Amino acid sequence: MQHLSRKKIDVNKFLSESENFNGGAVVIFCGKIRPINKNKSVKYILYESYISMAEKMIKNILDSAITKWNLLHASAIHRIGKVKVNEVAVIVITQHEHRSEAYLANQYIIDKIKHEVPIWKCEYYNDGTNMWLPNS
Amino acid sequence: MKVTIKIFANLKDYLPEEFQLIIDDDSSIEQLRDLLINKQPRIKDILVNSRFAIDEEFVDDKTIIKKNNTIYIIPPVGGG
Repeated sequence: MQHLSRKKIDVNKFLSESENFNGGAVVIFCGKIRPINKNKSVKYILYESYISMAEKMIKNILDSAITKWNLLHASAIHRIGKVKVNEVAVIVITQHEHRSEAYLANQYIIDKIKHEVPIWKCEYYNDGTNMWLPNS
Repeated sequence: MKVTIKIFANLKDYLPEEFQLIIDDDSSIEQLRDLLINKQPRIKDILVNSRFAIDEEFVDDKTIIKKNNTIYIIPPVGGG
């Protein structure tokens, strides 16, 4: 798996990969598991995916962002399986000569991943309940 | 004809993760959706908001299902 991972995301390793590219602007977005959601105390989130399709779609999203903003580099990883509170669930990095393109492309990529890619989350709470949460 | 259905997320609260179904030849995705709603009215709300995929590509309601296709039902996603 290239864009999905069952292991913890190493943010520093991810950032250090940007050193292989020359652009002056690097934008990183990290989505973390929040401890409280809708007034409920969260224990962890279980992410599920249609893996082969999700991999293909994330690659296509990255490729289209690279083309659209002429990026020097773009990459993304989304966790699947059990992700604990405060752990990083998704990371997106974009690199460009200038910051405005890097910001725009990064937001485009995370929005597409959240709203189109077949990944689902079931939130587990400390009171023993759980709930599947579609993105609005 | 026989097709395989694979489902995800909250649909698994109502159906097995993978199952086979006999449908009429030349059925469309729309007809498959209606058939599933008739069998399981409780999941109507999820199914009307779900997308369908074959071979890792989304397909529309008018797509004709072929023999031995595996159809993936994609409920509203929730990544991030």
